[in-house]
Amino acid sequence: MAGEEKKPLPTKEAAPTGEKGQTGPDLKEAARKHIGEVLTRVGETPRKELGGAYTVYPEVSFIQEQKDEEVVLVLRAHPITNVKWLLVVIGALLLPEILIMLGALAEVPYKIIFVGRLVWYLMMLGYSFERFLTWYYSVFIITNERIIDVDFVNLLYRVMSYANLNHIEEPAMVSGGFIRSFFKYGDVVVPTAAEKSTIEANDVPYPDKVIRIISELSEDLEKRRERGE
Amino acid sequence: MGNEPTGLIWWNTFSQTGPELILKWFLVAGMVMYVFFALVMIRQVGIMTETFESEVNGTVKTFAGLHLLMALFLLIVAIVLL
Repeated sequence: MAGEEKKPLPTKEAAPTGEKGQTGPDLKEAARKHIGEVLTRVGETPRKELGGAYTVYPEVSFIQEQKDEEVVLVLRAHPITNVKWLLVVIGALLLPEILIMLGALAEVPYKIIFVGRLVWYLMMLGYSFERFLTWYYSVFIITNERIIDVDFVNLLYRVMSYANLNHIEEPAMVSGGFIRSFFKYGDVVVPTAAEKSTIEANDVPYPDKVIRIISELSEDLEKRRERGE
Repeated sequence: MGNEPTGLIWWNTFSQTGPELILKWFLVAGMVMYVFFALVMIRQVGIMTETFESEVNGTVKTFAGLHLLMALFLLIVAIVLL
């Protein structure tokens, strides 16, 4: 899966001067230049890993994205966290066959069993789809300006948290246990100065690299603010 | 019979029509609720794809639409076939 999608990092020649009064495309170019420098420092290249659970410098956008903002990293929970519900679905798909084999439905008319099985399989499809959607769209986005945590707890509940990179404190990671160590995933905790004191990404791949990127981007933003850019 | 409560009248009617019909309407009621669930899912897919734009958004929307069509088809099958 490593290196599925790659795009060239911006070159220094293409970068603008970074003076005040820049237009939209200039701001984007300046942002790309800074991101390129940060990614080079942390030894990362644009890539997509683990089915999109760890995507560096992707071509995506999100709601309320600012003009000069560029997405640097998109994180989702490690795909291994989906195994639990996948096993439940596999077991549920086998359930009608098991009940028939055991003779538990012997008294039920054939047409009811037929329609009932179709309904059951559709429900399993709907459940799988709902779980996939929750996993896929619950993302932790790191841009050159902010951290955005999007959580879809279930189909009717969405939570979005934002934190500016210049308002965060030292990020931390929590990783432990056999499965987390083996598959290299864990939690990233970013303390903020806001009322909601932390912003968290749970079960994300390579938490050590994530905090390195956050720290570098935060530092880079701080320097740019000091220079008045 | 004239003074019997409504619930008892319904129960007597269902008992006389047999368990097959009860199962049929049980399935139909379940499918009606499921169609509502499929509609909610379409709405939610709209919100999700609006929140985060990626290359799979078109596929996800199509799949949510197909899922609703399948639910409607099975509702009709349950009413007609049973």
